[in-house]
This record gives sequence, C-alpha cells and structure tokens, in this order.
Amino acid sequence: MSFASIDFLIFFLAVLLGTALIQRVAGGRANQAFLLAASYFFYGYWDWRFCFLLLFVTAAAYVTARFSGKRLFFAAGVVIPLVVLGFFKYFNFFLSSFEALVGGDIRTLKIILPVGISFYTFQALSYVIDVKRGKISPERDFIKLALYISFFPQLVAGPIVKAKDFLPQLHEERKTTLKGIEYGVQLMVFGLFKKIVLADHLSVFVDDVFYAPAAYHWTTLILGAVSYSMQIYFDFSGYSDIAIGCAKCLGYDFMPNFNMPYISRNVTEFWRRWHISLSTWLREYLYIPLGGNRKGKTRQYINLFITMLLGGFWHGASWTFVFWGALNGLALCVDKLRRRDGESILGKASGVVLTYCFITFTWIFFRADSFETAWAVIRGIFTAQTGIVQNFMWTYVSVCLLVTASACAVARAHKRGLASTNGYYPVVSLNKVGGLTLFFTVCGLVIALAFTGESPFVYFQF
Amino acid sequence: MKSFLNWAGKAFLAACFAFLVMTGFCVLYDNTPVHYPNSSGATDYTWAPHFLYTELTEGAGLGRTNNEGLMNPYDYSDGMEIDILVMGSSHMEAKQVAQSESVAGRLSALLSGKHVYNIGVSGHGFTTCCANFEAALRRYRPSEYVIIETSGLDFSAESLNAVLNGTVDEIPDHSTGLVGFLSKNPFLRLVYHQLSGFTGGGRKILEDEDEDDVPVNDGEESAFDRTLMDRVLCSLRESAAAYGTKILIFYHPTTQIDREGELLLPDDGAARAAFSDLCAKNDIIFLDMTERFQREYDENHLLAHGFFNSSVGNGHLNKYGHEMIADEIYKLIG
Repeated sequence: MSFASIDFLIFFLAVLLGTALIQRVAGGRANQAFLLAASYFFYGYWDWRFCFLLLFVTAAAYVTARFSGKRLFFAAGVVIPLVVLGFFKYFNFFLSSFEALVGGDIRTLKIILPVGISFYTFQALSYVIDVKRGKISPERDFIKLALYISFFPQLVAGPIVKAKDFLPQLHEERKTTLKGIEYGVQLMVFGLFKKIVLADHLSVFVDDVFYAPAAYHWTTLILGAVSYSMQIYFDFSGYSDIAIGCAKCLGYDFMPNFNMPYISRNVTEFWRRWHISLSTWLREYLYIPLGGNRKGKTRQYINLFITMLLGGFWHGASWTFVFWGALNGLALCVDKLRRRDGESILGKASGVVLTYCFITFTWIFFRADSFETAWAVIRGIFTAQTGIVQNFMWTYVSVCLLVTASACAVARAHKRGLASTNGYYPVVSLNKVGGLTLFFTVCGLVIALAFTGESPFVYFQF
Repeated sequence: MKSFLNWAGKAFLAACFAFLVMTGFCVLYDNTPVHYPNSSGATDYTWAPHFLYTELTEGAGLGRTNNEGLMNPYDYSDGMEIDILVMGSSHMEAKQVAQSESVAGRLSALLSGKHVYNIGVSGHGFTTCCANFEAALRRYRPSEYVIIETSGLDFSAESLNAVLNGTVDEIPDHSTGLVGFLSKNPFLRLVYHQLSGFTGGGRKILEDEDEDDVPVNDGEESAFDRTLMDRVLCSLRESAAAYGTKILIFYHPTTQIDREGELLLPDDGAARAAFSDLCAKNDIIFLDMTERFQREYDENHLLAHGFFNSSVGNGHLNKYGHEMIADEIYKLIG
C-alpha cells in the first residue's frame, strides 16, 4: 500500500477516525494497540508473510535489550537485525560477487526483499544500543516497542526514528487534535505534490535516459542527471513529508528528514541537510563508535570514509551504491581538509553550484543499474555525444519551483537575521476562507497534475 | 455544533472558489471538448463545434474546432469542394500539435490551392475508418484522394468481418445527460481521467485507440487474414470508384529505443508486404513510413512520436512525425 494510492487514503482515514474514537473512549494504551494492528495490516498488505519477520525482529530487540547488561544478549541484539538484513538484502549479492571473483556457477537463492527491512532493522538496532548506552530504559510494554518499530508512517521508507526520540512519546498522553490534523494534512498534501506531480513525471524522462544513454545528445544526458537529482529529492522528501504529516495527524512527532539540501555550500553541509535521519543514525551508531574525530585526523578521515562506504552499501546490494558512498566519503574527507574562513558571497554561491554539480555527478552511480550504464552516461557527456535532444518540460518546472522555494527561504532567513537557512512550509489556517481556498486549490492541482502511471517510491527498494 | 456549521460554511465557500480557480487553470492546461453525435456517419462522433481546445498533458496544442466539430482551420459548408479527405485516429486529429503542423495542415500548405479536409477523430482506428468510409465519401465527396491512417497492421478476423458485416462497434457520444453536463467542465473532466488512471493502473497515452492498431511482431506471417483484408480493401476501392476518387493508406509504425540506442521497429515485414500487395491489387496507394522513420533517426536523431513532456518516442505523432508523413504523401500525390 503506497502513500500515493487511493487504498492508502481510505486506510488512513479509517485509522484517523478509529484512533480519534479510541483515544476518547478507551485511552492511550488501547489506541497504541489499535495503531499497532493498523501498522501490521499496512505492512501485511504487501506480503503478510513478512509480518512474522517484523515480529521476530521486534521480539529479538525486546528480549535482548532487557538483558543488554549481559554481553551475550547485547551482541545478539545487534547481530540478529544485521543477520536478518544481511540475509534478505545482501546474501545473493555476496554470493554473486564471490562467484565473479573465483569463477564457477554458484546458484543464488530466490529471496524476496521485504519492503522497509533496511529501516526497521536500523530502528531495532538503535533501540538495543540506546538501552545499552543508558539513554533509555528497556521498554517493558511490548506493544509500545512493537509500535515504535512498526509504526506505519515510517515503516517502509523512514524517516529512521531513533528509540530515544520516539519511545518517550508513547509514554506521554498524545492525542489527535484539530491543530495537529491541520498541520499534518497540509504537510501530506505538500508531500503528495512533490511525489506524484514532480517526482513521478520526472521518472518518465529519467527512466528513458538511463535505459539507453547511448541514444541521447550530451545536453540531454546532463538534463537526465539533473532530472534525477530533482526526482530523488522530490520523491524521498515527499515521502518523508507524508510520513511526518501522517504521524502529526495521529498525534506523534518525527524529526525533519530534509532541509533544502541543494543549497548546501559543501558536501559536509549537504549531508546535514539530506536524509537527516540516516545521517544522524550513521553518526551516532557508526562514526562515533569507530572513534569519530577523537583519534586524530587520519583516523577521522578513515572513519568518515568507512561510514559513507557502509552508508552507500546500506542503500542497496550493488557495487554502484558502494562506489557512490565511497565518492561521498572521499568528498567529505577533502572537505574536512579545506580551510573555510571568511567566504565571500561569490565564494558561497560557487560553493553551492560546485556542491550541486558534484552531488548530481554521484547520483549517476546511484541511479544507474550498472557501472556500464553510469559510464555510458558520463562518457556521453564528456565526449559531446550526439543523439536525441529532449528538453523535458517537467525538469524545467521542477528546477524553477525548487529555485523559487530556495530563494524564498534564503530571503526569509536573511530578513529574520537567521544564521542558517531552513526550509519551512507555508502552513495556512484551515479555519479561514482564504486558507481553505488555497488548500483546496493545492489539492486540486495535485489531482489535476498527478502522474497516474506506475512509479513506486525510490526508497522502497532500499 | 454551531462552530462546526460555521466551519462547514467556510469550507463550502472555499471549495467553490477553488473549483473556479481550478476550472480556469484547466482551460489553459487541458481543455478537451465533448463528444457530440454525428448524423452523417462520416465519423462516429465529432467534438463540440467552434470549441477552443488546449492540450498540455501530452505535447502542446492549442486550436479551435470548426463548425462540424472537426480539427480544421476553416468551416465546412454543404457542397463545398473537397480535394483530399484525411481519415484516421487521434494521430490525425493531432490535438498535441498546432493545426498547421498536422499532416492535414502541412499537406494544405504543400498542395496550395487544394482543399484538404481532416476528419481524424480519437478512437477511429483503421477498421472504424473503413466502417465509416462510404458515409464519409457521401458527405464530403473528395475529388482526388481519401487518405486513411493506420498505426498497426495487426487485424483480427473478427474485426475485419465486423467491417464487412457493418457491425463495427460505434464510439458513443456523451454530450447529454449528467455525464455530458459534468464533462463540459474541464476540471471535472480532467479529474475523471486522472481518477480512472489511478484506479486503472495508469492513464493510457493513446486513449480510445482501436485495439486492432497494435503493431505485431510476427516476423514470418502477415498479421491478418488475407482473404478478409482483400475483401475489405476491395469494398473500399468500389466505394471510391463510385465517387471518382482514389485511396491512399499510410502506415506509421510505433517505435522504441533499445538499450544500445538503436531504433526498434516492429518486426512486421511480412504483414507490410502482404498489405502492400493487397493494396496494389486493389489500386490503393500504400505508403509505409518505416524506412523514413529509420532514416530520420539514423541521420538526424529525430523520432516521429513523443513530446517534450512525455516519454521519449512514445505516444502520439509529434510535429516531426507529421512533417515526415506529409512530405512522403506529397511525393506520391503532389
């Protein structure tokens, strides 16, 4: 059940109505049980068999965290989610890589990748580690822990909510309020606009270009890469907006997952603004345990590189993702080496442009299904290849919207004297005719302009 | 309760305002006229007459239907002398390009002084055109040629028999009743299409297209019953002879790009050869656009289908496709 479907709309309205009623009639814990059942229904809608896997990961985290003082239990709490992830996501990859290395004919297994496995295993890990670190106490209520790991708004593609941020909310008196629905619904509509209007239309052109890069003129290949940079941003940030909006309607808060990443002046800043929940997860549970910056400069660079390499690998079982992670890791190291004092406006602007160009270049490896395809795109661009010229309208529309929104945010930050530019949503009051008119108009635009073909969320594959 | 009613009143007012705004937006973005019945039978239906239409969902088209609700820059009056009549599907209707860029528009410019009249309407695949052929001749009496478009050569025996028996399914009009009333609003019409797309697994680019017009990859054998097709073409020839006109059928294959960047054309050589033979036997000019499409792609990287806002090489004929076809037709009849 995708967020961008009529099935989900019906499901969400039913859950919203149900939770509002149960909160008032039966109280918080019954509501949590209801949300848990809804989350398992949501997950089982894809393939009910994987509900058992989700339950297994949850039960393992529940038991091991309670005894995480004992080394064996803690190790099991870390290893079990990793083994589950490794088996379902990476087993065939390692097998085929081994086969390519030594030759021979090794049979791979037919393993279906469970939707969202990368996300909920990371959440289970964060819970066990947070308990071990003493940041939270072990959760005694299984329903609360199960809801934390399987809460449907973030179950299949994040944001990766950390246990210490979400579990305390389950111990508070959280209720569905009109104010929360007013904010949440508008965030969901913004997210839908990003996803089904912009990202999905862009996917048509991106799929064409990356399917047969040899067919296109070099300018079209550049436009294809730019289109993908727009597509993945609108797709994933749109998904995150819907997830955050859903949770808000139900009375819960998720951290923002994107903060205008394409206005970053360097790669370090980019990773503070892009997929924030993953970046912070990797920093807290990988980079810092590796030593972070506490063991000298050389070790810091190595740690950064390893973190990004594994971050790339987390995205998918393919060497192109590993290479993408390595490129970003190298860029972060180079960025750390640079001195950055007193940049002029021109320096800042060129930083934004260079960072965008570098990130877009790395996206080629992220999107391509193989190194051959990525190389065909890059070779086509740098050899001024001739071919089909396609000036795809939706790319220009997307760039214009993004630049306009960014300019508004920068101007707003400048006006308010803020040190850094933050993204914001112009949420209107739904108790006034003007606000309601604007809201209904945006809803109308989403319906009228939506791409209605098949185009799943990019991050579902991870 | 009072506050809820107060809010409901505001919401209703706001919904009305938003509806007006969206209607205005759709007039510019996608404003398609409504199907009206066509008593002459030359086409199953026509569009609303003198209707200013816009199309930005695929390609970019802006134009006005004539007094008959057809895509022509001039009105038709009874007894008007028509030299060339163009029949076909949404490709010939050519809502996605300017009227002057369509096959009919370009032929008009190339054959200056001659009246080219376009009765191409969405959904009118080859078999529907054949079914309406006699009525179209009766109505317009073209003095020189009738041009019929087809994007496929895969015809079932059932569809050919339907042509011969006069039982081809007619495309309904929907200008009356509640549906007719609602579909006159461009926003509601677009919402209907969008919701159909969501529930039906995606909007068809070539909506209403005749199923018989799907190209076939048979390679060895022709994709139709030769005897039945011969009878269909023979009946067309006899009708044309009765009105003192000639027939030209042109075939434009749908194309794809393969992973190596080569143009993929349907493997339908046998069907094309068989169709060409039958056309020659019945004194019908057959124009096959396959080679021209291949050459334009190889030499100029031009594709006949697809637009700047749709999938590359997929969908309706674009302005290059119309130009190539008009150019080839002109070489044959100019």
